[in-house]
Amino acid sequence: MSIYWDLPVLLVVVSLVYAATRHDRWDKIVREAVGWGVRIAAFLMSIGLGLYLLSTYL
Amino acid sequence: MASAPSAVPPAPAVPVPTVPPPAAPAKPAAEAVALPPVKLDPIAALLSYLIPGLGQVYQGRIGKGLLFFFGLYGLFFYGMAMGQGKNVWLPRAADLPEVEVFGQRLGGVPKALSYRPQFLGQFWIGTAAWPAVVQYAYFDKDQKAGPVFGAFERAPSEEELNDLQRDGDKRWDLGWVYTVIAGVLNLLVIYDAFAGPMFREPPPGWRPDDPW
Repeated sequence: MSIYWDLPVLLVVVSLVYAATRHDRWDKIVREAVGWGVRIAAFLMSIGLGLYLLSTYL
Repeated sequence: MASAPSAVPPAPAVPVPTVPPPAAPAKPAAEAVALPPVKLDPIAALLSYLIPGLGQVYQGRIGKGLLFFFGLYGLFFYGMAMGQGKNVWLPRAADLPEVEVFGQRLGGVPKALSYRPQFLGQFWIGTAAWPAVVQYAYFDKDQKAGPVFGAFERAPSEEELNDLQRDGDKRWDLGWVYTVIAGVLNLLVIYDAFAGPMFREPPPGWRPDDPW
């Protein structure tokens, strides 16, 4: 199994736990966690895309 | 002939400047809703160190406590499983080459940590990392298992480490990263138990004119 399948576990837990240390209300926790999850996923995917392009076209 | 008295032209009406009443200074956002001072809770912080989320449960924040418990223990043990249970340990470094920091020769736990700095992060997950400390204290290189926890969180032999890194994929390495992240995240959870979340809400039923 590829190690990339392990990344969603890390992403979900880090987003939820970090958001829960910033707020006490669940609606705010969920909203902040989704925001962090999207940002972390976009960051990881941009790095993955960059490495893919480098390895394919360079 | 008497001349008509010259009429003094009336002075043009000069608008009297009116001074507007001073506006009430806008309150900063922090003062708009003055919350009671933070009450520090060292007991809850200690409980959250021992078991992630236990301090929040002790404070009555059950949902958040359960989220921290399952989230951080899930991440920690998932990381251990990725490393086949052999990526959380503190090595007995007495037989290993000496380490000097700023001219000081390290010994004991500092020397062990210099060989396994990952444990500095893993330690903060709480009691789940204590077996590694027990294994360190009672380590006997002639035995294959420790006295209380067997091989759990025991320093692997050189051969075991070589096998893991040669025969396995990169999940063993990624696994210890997960355990370190779980431990470091628990520092935030401990602080949440100690002083509350970063953005606080007014307590239920609380009014701004209530005495603190």
